[in-house]
Amino acid sequence: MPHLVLGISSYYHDSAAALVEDGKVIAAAQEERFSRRRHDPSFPAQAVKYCLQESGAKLDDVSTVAYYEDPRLKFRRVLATFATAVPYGFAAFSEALPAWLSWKRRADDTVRQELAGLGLGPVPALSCHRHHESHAASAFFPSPYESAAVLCVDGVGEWATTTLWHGRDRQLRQLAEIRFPHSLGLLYSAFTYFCGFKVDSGEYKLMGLAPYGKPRFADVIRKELIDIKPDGSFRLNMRYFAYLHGQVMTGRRFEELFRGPRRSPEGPLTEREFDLAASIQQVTEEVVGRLARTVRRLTGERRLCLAGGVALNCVANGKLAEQKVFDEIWVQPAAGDAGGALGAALSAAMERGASRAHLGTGRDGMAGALLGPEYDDEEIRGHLDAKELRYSRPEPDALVREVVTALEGGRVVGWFQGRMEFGPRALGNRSILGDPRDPDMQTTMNLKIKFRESFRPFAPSVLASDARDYFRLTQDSPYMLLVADIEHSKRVDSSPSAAHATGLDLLRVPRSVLPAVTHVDMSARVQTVAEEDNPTYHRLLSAFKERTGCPVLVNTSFNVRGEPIVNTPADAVTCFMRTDIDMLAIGGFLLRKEEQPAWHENGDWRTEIPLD
Amino acid sequence: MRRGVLFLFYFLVLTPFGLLYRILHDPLRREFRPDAQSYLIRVRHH
Repeated sequence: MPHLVLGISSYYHDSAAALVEDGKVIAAAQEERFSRRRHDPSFPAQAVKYCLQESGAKLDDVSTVAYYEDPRLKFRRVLATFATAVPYGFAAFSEALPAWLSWKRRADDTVRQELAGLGLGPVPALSCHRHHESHAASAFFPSPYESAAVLCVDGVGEWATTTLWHGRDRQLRQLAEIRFPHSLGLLYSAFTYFCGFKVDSGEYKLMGLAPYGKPRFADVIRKELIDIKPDGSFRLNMRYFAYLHGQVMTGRRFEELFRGPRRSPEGPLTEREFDLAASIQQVTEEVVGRLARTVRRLTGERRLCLAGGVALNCVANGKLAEQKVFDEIWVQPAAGDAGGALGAALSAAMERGASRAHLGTGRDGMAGALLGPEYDDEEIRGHLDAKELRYSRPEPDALVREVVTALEGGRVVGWFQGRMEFGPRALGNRSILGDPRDPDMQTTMNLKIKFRESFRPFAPSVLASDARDYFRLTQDSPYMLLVADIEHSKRVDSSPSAAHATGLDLLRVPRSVLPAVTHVDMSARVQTVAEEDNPTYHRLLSAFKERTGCPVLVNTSFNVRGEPIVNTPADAVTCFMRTDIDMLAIGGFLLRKEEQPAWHENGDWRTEIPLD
Repeated sequence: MRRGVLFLFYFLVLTPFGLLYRILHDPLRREFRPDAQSYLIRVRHH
């Protein structure tokens, strides 16, 4: 009888479910992909149903449900915060306390009730795992390492905001921690908020903005906002932050420090935001680098596993890999709270004697992060017919050839194949693809396809075997979580006048033979694609290389701004028809935009999707 | 009504208690740049 553990994360942001069988990850998905509500915090009912359906199990086949944090411990932290934030925190207190008193402090009971309400059978025993334990488990247990140092850095769970661990075989041992309110994740979020982006959502925009600026505020941050010790431990100056007693991140003192009010959301980006982004990025990299050296010293390990929201900062990860503090690093692809569901499940499984069967295979236990739903061609055809769309169904090789022809001709292709990705990145199964050599591709994709800010860079997918020819990578990056510089041989000389370009003018400066994926600082957020991880996508990249000599494609998530990545064929077709995507390769079918009938919707869909 | 009760509780009960609690033992350790070599809290295993 297989030993099934269902992991759940919920009620903060990025709710998710994951199913683990005898230590092997069977399925994992975020609720937002089903509910179509970005960062959906609600109970992940549809993700749970999907996970059980994927394994053919019922709820009473599950031996344990593992919840990703300890709600009672978290409640004690919330109470301590309210109690010591007096007398300024009444608004936050009166808004948050009723929910904490009525159900949040017993969120595990709520999870039990929700599971019972699904009608899938009796609810098994439920165990709660601390937030950082879940992160650490998600980082270490699926990693390809028998033993490793583990570093988790995020906003906050219960008390811990940063934790250092030593992982060996099936055991994780916590070594040290930093506690709330001193949090690198919340510091980064404070700058995200101050620069006019959404907290818990816009952090990656701030990271993308950093190369446009100069880190002229870094010393001010070190002097006034954060005291960083040589071992990377830190303490924040809480006089400048408002998150203890308010529903916002920064207040008046923060504005005085940076000489001006917070940028209004969607307002113009100025030199100040560029420089703030560059400054906080530099400080973040410094802290992460020092913490990594400390955990290396404490454990003596040569490999590092990372998780927690800050581990999604692929620029910091790239710097860490480049500095060679560790021989190799492995980052959990769902490093944020969604991955907590997986970590809790793995932690519970290991406690019950499960094994790490992937060890020794040379691969990790994440199956390329392709852990979500898959739709067969009959389901896809049914949907295309219902919408009266025109399609062809070429042989698989012919489909790839036609997609390559379209890409080579400057077309943008929606690529919907196989199982959906788990985590925030599209890795070649729910992707929009383009030719990275096309100098207009970044603008076209940003403004006409994704409807998002023009400064945002796109990421390249590259054949793993060719990655080092194009990017200065020190190791593979299968989950698009390492940033690396473009190889010097692939850079192009820009005109002397371009050397003086600043801010968004940098976007127009030619930089490399891959202009669509080269950020203004000559970096790229690389995904290396190996055949064993994703054979279909690998075949497409190989065919593109065969035709053009270029083993790289632009890969951006299949969605528009503010919308979760597409999950079903219906989501994909809707996104295809709403945008200027030229071609859709969905399963074995090919759709060309110019052949499709007019697309009608009631109302303006763009007003229905909240901006991220 | 509920907000009124919360208001009275917050300012009549929680505020004096919280201020005292913070003076005697701040659970959030807010002091900036205290005399310390490290802010890492080592975890003891028994």
